[in-house]
Amino acid sequence: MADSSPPSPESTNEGTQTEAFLRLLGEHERRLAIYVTGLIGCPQDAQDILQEGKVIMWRNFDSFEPGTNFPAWARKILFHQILAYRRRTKRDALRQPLNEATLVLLNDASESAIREKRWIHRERALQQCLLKLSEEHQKVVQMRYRDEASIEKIAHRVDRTEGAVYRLLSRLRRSLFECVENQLDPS
Amino acid sequence: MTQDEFSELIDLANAHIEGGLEKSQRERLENILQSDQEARRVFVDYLHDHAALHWEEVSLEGDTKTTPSVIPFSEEFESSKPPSRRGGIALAWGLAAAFAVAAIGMGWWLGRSEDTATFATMEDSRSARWESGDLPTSAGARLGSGQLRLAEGLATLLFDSGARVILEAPVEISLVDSMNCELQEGTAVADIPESAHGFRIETPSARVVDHGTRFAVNVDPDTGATRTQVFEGLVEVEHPASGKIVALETGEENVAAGNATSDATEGTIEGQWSPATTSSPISGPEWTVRTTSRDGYVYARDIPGHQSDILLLVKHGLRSDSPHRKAYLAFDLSDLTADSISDAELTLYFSPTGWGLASSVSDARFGVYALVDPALDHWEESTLHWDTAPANNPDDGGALLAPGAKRLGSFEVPQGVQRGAFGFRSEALTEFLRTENADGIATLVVVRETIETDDGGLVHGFAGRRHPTLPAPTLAIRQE
Repeated sequence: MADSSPPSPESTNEGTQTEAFLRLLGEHERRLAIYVTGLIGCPQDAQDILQEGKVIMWRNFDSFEPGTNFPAWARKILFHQILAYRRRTKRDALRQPLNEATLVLLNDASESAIREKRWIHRERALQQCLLKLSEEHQKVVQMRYRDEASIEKIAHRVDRTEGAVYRLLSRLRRSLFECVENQLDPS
Repeated sequence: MTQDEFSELIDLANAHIEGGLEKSQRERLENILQSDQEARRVFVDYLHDHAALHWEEVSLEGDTKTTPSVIPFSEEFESSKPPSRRGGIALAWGLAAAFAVAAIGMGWWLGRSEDTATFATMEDSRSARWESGDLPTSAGARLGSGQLRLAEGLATLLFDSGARVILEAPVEISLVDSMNCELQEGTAVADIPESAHGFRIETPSARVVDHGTRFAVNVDPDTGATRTQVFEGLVEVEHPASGKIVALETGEENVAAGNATSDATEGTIEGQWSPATTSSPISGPEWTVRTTSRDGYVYARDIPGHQSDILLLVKHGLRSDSPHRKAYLAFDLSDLTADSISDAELTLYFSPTGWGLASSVSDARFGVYALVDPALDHWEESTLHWDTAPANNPDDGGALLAPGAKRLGSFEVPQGVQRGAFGFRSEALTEFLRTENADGIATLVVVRETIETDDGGLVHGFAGRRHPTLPAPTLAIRQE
């Protein structure tokens, strides 16, 4: 059986393959996580999808041509995983992602943002905009994003209602977005 | 985008991020995103900012690595990730886990069978002849992105999205992914279930976006002009050269070519489609709907493997010894009062048979006959045979014999169309049911009057009463 025979020449080859895969993944994984989160919304679900996607990527790594665009190849696989995930969670009303037609259109929009390097510029601007927030607001952003605290926990911590925290977070995201838009195109 | 529209979009995006979209809100959001490109731009950028914050591509600690101005709360919260930039540790853990799963059993370098590079299946390619192209063409083959050139015949592709596309030779098509293909020339007939709404066919002159429907797209090989015909549902034809988008509904068609695109016009097939499109709708208590109590078809010559248990096949070959086929339908109306019948319509649900060349049969006219002699109504499905079938003319592939049979009228199926509900509604049919059907058993016979232009032309088929999904031939009868 192939499984039990000593894998001498293949194993060397596989070793190089593994290394190449790990290097590419390490280099691009964070951007891939951002891509999936952008389409799914919920970072925890995005992480699950990414996790499954990585396994598929590894299994199919021999279909990747070295020297070509790895993140583009990986995003294609991840988008399929997103659609598969959507089919699985269809019945879960609140977790249900957007429908497939919308996801396809959003994926197009994401791809063109990546092509135009728009997000790189946004991130630079977002960094500046974060610093313009009041200290209290910075604290809330940090709790929500860095510490992944739930709205409930933040509400408890800052002694506000959950509704108030939800509205505050929504407002903060919006003002960060507007600040970034302004920095990129001040007109 | 107005300020109000922007605010609505942002509110929905925030609810989406926090996982709190109600069904109606989600549908609203999908609507906005599908109809407005600028909304999509705003939405993906908004979600991107959120994602970049979460994955700490952007954080208050920032690139400057200065001491944070706020105290970390990590100890207080059960965070799933370390407080540092999580690109390092958390993702590396994920990678190790992925690697471990992949490596289980040491068989992993052989077991790369879960092939995500493919996204469609060659469902049926009987009668097909392929030319150059870089994809497999045998039935059942899995397909990834690439090019197909069908020189003759028909082939059916089933995309993983659920979209089913029938290729009509000669055709050249590139598969992009499970929701996109590019039709360079020729005809493709698409059948799109809900799972594949948004399916797109790009052509040299237009982009056809489906919103749940059956439609046909034809690209003229010389001019690249795109003709889109909608049998049922809604399709959008985007014409990049003019920036115009034309919405086509059931029964409409348009042509996009060069720098112009025509408005939606009534398709040539209007009135022959399903009962829903006929002038006076068939509904209400005065209508009775019957399906066949017996049905079957007779064939002039048996071609092994070219028969069907679920479809009733109809064909009119070029030669006297061609494998002609005719369909017999019996409806039991014995419980109805014949005198009270004031209107009637026969509906047949066509489905591709996969046999014969569609290009060898032009728009096809089907003749419908009734058996007027009650003695002829007692045929059996099991013994129905070409030579002995009631009123059959074994020497004519497209007609029956008088006086036993009487021609009631005809309907037409356009070239290249192989599925859809075709209604046949006529005075003669009503008259037959009212005055000439004494025993209450109505036998109707469907023949194709249009003869193929070459040997091996398309075999038409419609669902019989044993079809697992499509309705049997249906007779709707109005009684006063």
